[in-house]
Amino acid sequence: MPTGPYPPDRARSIPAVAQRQAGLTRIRRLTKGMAAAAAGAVVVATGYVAHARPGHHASAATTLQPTTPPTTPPTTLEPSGGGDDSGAPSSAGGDDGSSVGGSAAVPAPAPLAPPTTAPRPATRPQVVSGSS
Amino acid sequence: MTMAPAPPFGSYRTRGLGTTAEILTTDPGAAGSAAITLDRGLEWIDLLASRFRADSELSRLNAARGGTFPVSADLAEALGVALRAARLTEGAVTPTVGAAMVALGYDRDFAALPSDRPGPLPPMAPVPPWEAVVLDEPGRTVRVDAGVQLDLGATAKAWAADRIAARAAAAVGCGVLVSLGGDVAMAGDAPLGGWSIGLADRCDTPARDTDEVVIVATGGLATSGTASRAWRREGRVIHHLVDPRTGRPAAPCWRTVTVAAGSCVDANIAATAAVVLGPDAPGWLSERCLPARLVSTSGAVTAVGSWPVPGHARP
Repeated sequence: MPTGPYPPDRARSIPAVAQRQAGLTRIRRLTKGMAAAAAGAVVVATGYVAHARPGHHASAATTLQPTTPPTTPPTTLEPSGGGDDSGAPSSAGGDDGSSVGGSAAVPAPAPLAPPTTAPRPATRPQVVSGSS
Repeated sequence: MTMAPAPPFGSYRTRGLGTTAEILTTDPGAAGSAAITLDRGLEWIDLLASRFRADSELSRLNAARGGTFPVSADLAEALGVALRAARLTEGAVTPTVGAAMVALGYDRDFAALPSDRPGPLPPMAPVPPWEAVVLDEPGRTVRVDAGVQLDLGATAKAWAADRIAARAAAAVGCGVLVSLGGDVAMAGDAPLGGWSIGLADRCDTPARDTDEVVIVATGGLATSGTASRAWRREGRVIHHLVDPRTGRPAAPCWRTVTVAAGSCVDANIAATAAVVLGPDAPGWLSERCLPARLVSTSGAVTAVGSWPVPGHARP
């Protein structure tokens, strides 16, 4: 069964790369900031635990990450604007300054928030909620 | 029972994101300003996160096919919301389903999608894990592994509803309800007694035909289900809620799940996760103190937490 979108040559090198990756991961755990700076990487956060969910396969291929820093500058997308004059509604939430991804150092996200009051029965709808 | 006449509200209804969009205001005179906010918000989220227009920022990110890229503050936040959903649901709701969606045939705006797509179904395979996307939100960069295509369908619309509602309420100074395809966000002071919301399998159901009506005053309420955005392939009905474990539509269990939460995006994350989780969903929702209404494929209703009245859906 295919294990992911990775090309066959990467999949064939799984043991060596995974071994090397494990070593790098340990180093990054200890000196993540220094290692990232030395590598010139923007963010190099690896997923130690690809899938914690039962039945969600953690194939070797899916844990592969680049093991060397890019030798060319990252491709740049065109500037996208996004300022308030674009009509973008203002953010409702603050920025906690965290990075998000596969890093174990990333703090846990805020849990799903329950409603402040429970729904109550009614008879006359003003709007309809259904799948769209 | 005699019902009091409904108080006057301002309202504006339009189309956007391939569905209906609506804004209500407790001050009838605020509808015009609120309508402008809604129209601008729809254009903003479409240009930011649509997978179906080549000029959206998300489409340009997907077209780059892997690497590290700068992104706008808004896309960084949208990706942060999507990755938070993935973490909170342990990957049940993940933005990395884009390639699976395309492989299943959902490769254009749904209105332009033929009802029967040719060709065999793709083989079952897990989608890339959400860890394939590494976001530095303050630095506004994202690294995406090669081969990963992003789809923000599970979070962007509800997140936009929250933001549009907050912006509109701040602009007009009254209570506002925004519904984007049935993803409902509320901001400002609700009308006396709250907003009343009808529940149905599809958001285009006439109000008089809804299965159940509830009142909520704050936060959000969202419904996910398999009754809409479905097509056929190889003689099978395919819907748009992908199980990341298989890359296929979630197995039939719940046809509609409605969740009330502190925000519309949290409600939609939970509702979508519930469809994917199947039989485990009631326990998962209960553990998170999220009131919910789940309708099985046979029409049986399961109420979770403080959901008010277990009813029975139309078969």
